[in-house]
Amino acid sequence: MFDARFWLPESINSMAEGTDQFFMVLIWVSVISLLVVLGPMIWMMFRYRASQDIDRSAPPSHHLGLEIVWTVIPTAILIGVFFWGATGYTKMVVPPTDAMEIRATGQKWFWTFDYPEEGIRVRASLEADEERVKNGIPPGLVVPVDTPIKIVGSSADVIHSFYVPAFRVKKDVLPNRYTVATFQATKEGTYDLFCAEYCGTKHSKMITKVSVVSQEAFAEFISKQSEESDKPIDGATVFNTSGCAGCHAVVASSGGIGPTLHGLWGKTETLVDETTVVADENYIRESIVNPMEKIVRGYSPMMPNYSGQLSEDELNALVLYIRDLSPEKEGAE
Amino acid sequence: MSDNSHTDAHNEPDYLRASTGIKSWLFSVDHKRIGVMYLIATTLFMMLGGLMALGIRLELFTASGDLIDADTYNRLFTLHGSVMVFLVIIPAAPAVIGNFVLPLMLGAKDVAFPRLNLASFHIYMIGAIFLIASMILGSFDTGWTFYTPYSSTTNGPVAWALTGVFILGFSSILTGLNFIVTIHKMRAPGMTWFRMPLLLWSLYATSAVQLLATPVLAITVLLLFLERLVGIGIFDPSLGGDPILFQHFFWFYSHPAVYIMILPAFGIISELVSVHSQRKIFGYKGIALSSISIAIVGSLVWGHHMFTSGQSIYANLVFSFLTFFVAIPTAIKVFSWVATLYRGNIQITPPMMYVFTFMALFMIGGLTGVTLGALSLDVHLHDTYFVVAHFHYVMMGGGILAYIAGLHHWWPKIFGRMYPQKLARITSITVFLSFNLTFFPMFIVGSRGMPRRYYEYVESFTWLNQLATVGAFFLGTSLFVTLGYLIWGAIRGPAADNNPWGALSLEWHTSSPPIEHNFHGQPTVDAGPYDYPEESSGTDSSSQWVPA
Ligand code: HEC
Ligand SMILES: [Cu+2]
Ligand SMILES: [Cu+2]
Repeated sequence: MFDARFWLPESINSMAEGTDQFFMVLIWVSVISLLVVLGPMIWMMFRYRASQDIDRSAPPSHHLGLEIVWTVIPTAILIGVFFWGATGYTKMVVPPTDAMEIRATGQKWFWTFDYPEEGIRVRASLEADEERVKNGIPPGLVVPVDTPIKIVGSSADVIHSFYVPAFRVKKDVLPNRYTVATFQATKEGTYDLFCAEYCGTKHSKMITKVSVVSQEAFAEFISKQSEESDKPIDGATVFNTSGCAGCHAVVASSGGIGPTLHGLWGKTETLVDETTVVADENYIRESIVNPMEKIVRGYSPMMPNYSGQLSEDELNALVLYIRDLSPEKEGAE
Repeated sequence: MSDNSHTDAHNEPDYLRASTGIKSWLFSVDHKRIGVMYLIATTLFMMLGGLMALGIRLELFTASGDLIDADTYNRLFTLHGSVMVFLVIIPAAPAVIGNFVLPLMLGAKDVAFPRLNLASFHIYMIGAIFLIASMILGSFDTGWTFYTPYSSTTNGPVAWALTGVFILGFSSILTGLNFIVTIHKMRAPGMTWFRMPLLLWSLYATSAVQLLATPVLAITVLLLFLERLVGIGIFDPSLGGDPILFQHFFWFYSHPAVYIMILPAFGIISELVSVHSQRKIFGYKGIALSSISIAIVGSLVWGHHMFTSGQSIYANLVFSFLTFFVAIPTAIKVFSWVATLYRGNIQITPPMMYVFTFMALFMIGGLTGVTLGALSLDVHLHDTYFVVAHFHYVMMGGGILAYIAGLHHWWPKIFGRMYPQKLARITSITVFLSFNLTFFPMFIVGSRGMPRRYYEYVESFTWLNQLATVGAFFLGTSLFVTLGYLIWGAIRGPAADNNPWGALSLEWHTSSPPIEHNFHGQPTVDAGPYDYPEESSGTDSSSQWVPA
């Protein structure tokens, strides 16, 4: 109970050093304050209970000295707590100028990480992570150990929050501005990355990892990813790693967050404004890069906007993949 | 009995029997009947919110989502939060206890605007219907905080809920207005400001906050409503709005709302500590003025809900600094309550048991609030179960349990009958234990990193969640027993004395239950509410009321 590990997970962010001790100090301050108040309370509860025959004369109704003491002491402690918290905080949130920059985009219900220097992009979600582990690639956000990292976050739809308990780092990502988080991991391993701001159905499934790896492993990861991006793109992979699978089925089914894409190709779709449209290449492309433009009847306008999120090649692969989801429509034309 | 209200021994019927029929209740302008109607309504809503809490806890018994689906879960916690905040905690203490007790304590026949008071109740019921309708009509799933752009884009009857909250705000504003005017204008002759019972000071501070902060909530939900309906871009970035602005607006009301919930609790505790230890309250002025300063400083700290939201570092520093200044007047109150016990004649009555329960739970809530106010720690703890535990300790352990303490205290006055004392003392202990079993594990699971509003969680959090679920069912059972014996007491319990606790304030110096016009004749006051004689005999021989 009075060991930091009881309360907190292992801390491996050198920028948040000292916050755990601070937390434990406050636990102790709280326990002592509780005893200072509840101790006398319980003691008097017994000593002055009605059945007790005891001196009750001249109870004080105020006592200036005492009142000053119990105002000044808490004030001093609280100001101390403020300064300790504030200095720790400024150390935790200001990224060093030489930090390696990674862009994090939150979106229902997965993350996209861009490494601008290295020119690569990875997607992180429960499904995408599984896929990567299968191919021997570390899951989630991959960062080198002992390197200051600056996360520049934004969102493609609603507010999400980038939260890594092991780093003591949390920052909301917003749809209309960039927010910054920073850390420097001191130990290799994989750590949980949660979404901490409520974002709908799969908020609690918007979980991925931070993989802290050695410099060599990081270099290897980068080269593997760059190779990966030279390979022809597989539509099914894009579909599964970009979050589409979270909302759309690819087999005949009804219900779900978004309509099933099985049998969509060539179908005449009715929209909320009762107009109809034939699902062709352009309709599907538009559905992905500008989903608010045409809303399918019976569904809510909640599909995230993927423009800028997917490369042209990925878009093409997706459209082809969706086309192939539809069985041959004999005589439909 | 030497009770001076009885010296002229009229045989007037009490307010419960003064007239009959359902209409005589629904359209009554008697503050006491309105208080009882609020009591019934808030109790029903509390049961509804409590049942939803049990549903949430049941789902969280295991790490995977197995009992209900994710969307149902999201609706449950949204409604649990909205019902508990808007329909229970905000109105409970002021509208039930305040309505019943405030005019009596002042020595008045009613509040200043009795019809307005009835209107507040009707408005409250209409607002409640809208809020509940959003549950029946489908998936209202934004969380009680309505954060944009989630709330402006999700489908479902958010507009109904917003309308409900908008309407409820007016009820709150009108009640606040009524109380302020009543306290200014209707004090009995001789009832100076510093002779008012401390409950009235805290109700005064509460009313001021209701009056000043609630309009901001009304404007906020109105703007959100318009955004959803006609797409004006205030908060939704895809329309050119700013979601952080919404958070500022929302917390500008909702942080002071925390004080709407807790200030009346402070007032209740101040009354009870003094009465049940038959001892003048220690540091009257300190307690009275700390209510006012909490109301003022508490209006300037809303930004501490937004330390990780993208608000600037400098704003964070200022808000963190101010936050600690709310803790100081709160600490002064707590110390004064404990000092009141010194050389007291402490009666271990059910209300007093709840006072002790309140003290322990509220202190834990307050101290963890200090931890959360520290910037470097809030970054880790924000939006985790640590926060959930913290505000349940404050809102439920503090607000609701003080309200329950108050109900036990004024019950014999409200219904003229007593509940079983021993059973009440025992359940107060089981409430205390099961409360801690429910909410203490949440601190730990939160600081270990479990975010709030999670339908599923990682395996390692399981055992702590299971403790909380078991605790929640014990807590629910204890509260049901409490409800049961209180109802039994109100209907079948033994008749209560006019002044069973030996209190001095005016409400105890009329009959139990009071007559429709509260007092025979106009009370006049010549003493403080806590001027107990030094060798108190524990009877009702003395009073604030001087015979004319
Ligand atoms: C958050 C859930 C969500 C995600 C993630 C999502 N969609 Fe959608 N999608 C929807 C919803 C809801 C609709 C129906 C409303 C509309 O038309 O915008 C939809 C509509 C569509 C349509 C039109 C379907 C029709 O029947 O006309 C296509 C095509 C589509 N999505 C493709 C995709 C692709 C490809 C991805 C991944 C890159 C994706 N969606 C990701 C929710 C989602
Ligand atoms: Cu999210
Ligand atoms: Cu989320």
